[in-house]
Amino acid sequence: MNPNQMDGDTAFQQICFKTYIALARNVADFPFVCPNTPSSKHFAMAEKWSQLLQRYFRFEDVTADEQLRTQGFRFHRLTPDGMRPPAYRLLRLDCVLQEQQHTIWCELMTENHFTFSVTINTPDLVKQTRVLEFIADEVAKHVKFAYDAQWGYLTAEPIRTGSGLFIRSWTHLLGLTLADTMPQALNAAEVKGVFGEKDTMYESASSEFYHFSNRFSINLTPTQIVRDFKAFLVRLAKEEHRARLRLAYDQPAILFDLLSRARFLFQQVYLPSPEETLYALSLYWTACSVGALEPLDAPQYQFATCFDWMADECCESHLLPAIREQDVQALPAAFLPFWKNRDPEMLRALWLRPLGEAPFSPAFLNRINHK
Amino acid sequence: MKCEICNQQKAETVFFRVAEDGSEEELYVCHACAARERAFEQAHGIQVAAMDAPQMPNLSDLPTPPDAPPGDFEGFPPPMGMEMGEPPLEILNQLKRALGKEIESLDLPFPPETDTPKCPTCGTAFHTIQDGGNIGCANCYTFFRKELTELLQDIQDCTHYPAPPPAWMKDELLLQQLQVQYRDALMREDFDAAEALSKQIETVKQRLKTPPTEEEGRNEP
Repeated sequence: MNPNQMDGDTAFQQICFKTYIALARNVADFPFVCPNTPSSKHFAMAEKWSQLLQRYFRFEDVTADEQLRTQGFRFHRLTPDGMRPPAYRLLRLDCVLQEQQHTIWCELMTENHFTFSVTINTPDLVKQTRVLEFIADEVAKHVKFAYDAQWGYLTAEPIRTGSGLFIRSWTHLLGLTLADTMPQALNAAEVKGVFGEKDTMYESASSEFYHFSNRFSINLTPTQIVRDFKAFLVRLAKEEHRARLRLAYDQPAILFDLLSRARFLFQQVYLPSPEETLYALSLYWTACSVGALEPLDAPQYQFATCFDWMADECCESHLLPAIREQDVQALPAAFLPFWKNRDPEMLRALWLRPLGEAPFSPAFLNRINHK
Repeated sequence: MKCEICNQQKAETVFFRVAEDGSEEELYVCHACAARERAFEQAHGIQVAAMDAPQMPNLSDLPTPPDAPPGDFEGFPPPMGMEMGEPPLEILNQLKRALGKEIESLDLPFPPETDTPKCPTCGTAFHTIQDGGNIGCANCYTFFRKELTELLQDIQDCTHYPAPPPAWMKDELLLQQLQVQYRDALMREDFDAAEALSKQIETVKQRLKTPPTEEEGRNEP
């Protein structure tokens, strides 16, 4: 597809697999969470606000949820277990707004008193921001938030003062990385008020994952910030798609070579490291998006879902229910020999074996032969 | 100038590091980035050539005037960083905070910490906020208004939130406005206007005191 004719949302979804939007609010006349305030006050206020949210908004207290303690940071960017302040509370609200299901998180007593957040893998950033604003405004009917006529909402971090908004998107930019144009893309981000940096999850030299976040939160309203942010990412997505097309059409032999290595890894390798597996998967996703590979049918190998579990030591999160409940019968037969030691590389290799059979598209093979 | 690594904080120091091709590059960075880079390079066994202050020239490297006796530097400009007689109190205080207990035993003429203005509500000093810490409370924004305006200008390039105030805040802002007008009226001894404003202030205060109705309270999303 011609990138210029591509719909913004489609382009956005091709590169962006997760977006975290958070809105910070603080209560007036009560110190922010800082060492100078007695911690007993923090506990008391957290309890009071937690009850308020549960009573009026049907938030559910999930602070003690074991799975969220360990997985909350990875999947929803919630404060990790080790970094939770003593009076920390985590609440969840499952609601339906504008005929859509939403899961809103509210963290109490992090740096800010209230942090309303949502993690999505859809392009509805503006809509989700409005939902967060709506919830925050509803809470404001019961709690007086710190607000200044000049500075807007007052937050503990000067970088969030104003709208209190923080937005971060995780993106996959293999085309631009291979074309060596990422420095220019990051410079463009700087100009547009977006902060981009390489994801250092594995500190791998070939990493093509970047995250982008808003640099300013006072100059515009939350909706305007999000709209500009998304417009930049859509533009970036179109450039990325253009770079992928160049790779697939102008240099098909290079792409074929890279994909063959990835296929070999999925077919033969028994102890792949997380970074090389992720790189191979990343090549597969890119190839699928430009029609070099037939689309992957199995939903568990899809772009949006793979990244999260790859961040783990193995495919544990996909097989988490079976592993947690010690339900060996629920595991595929091929896993059983390795189950006892839970060898993560081996489990991952076995789980990804079906990808080794993913076929090249005939058009792509023709193009290589023609070249 | 902003830090060349994080592009967020103000550049406070110079950091020299050896690039991959062996050339030495000079970066203007904030203290936090300088410390992080230094720790990273030391952990990887890389020779670090970092410094937190402009490098002092070695005295023995300075050219000696032909007629002057050895060791006499009269007539030459003092080396960089040595031209001022007494270091400013702010620098002394920063040094004291950085070195902590190690220099407490030394009898140096540091002014007491109490000289640093602190927010009366939460006790946060501005240098704590400036050093990458968080703001202590909403009152800090009023107490350090001037300093925070400069800080926000540096960080966010803007100090005004353009959105209209939220509905629940309108009365609060009206109250603030009326109180300023009331003070002005008293100052110019216009007591009639002051009385009218006083009544308006009372009305707004009453409105603010009224708790949300049960209907509003049950307004669930």
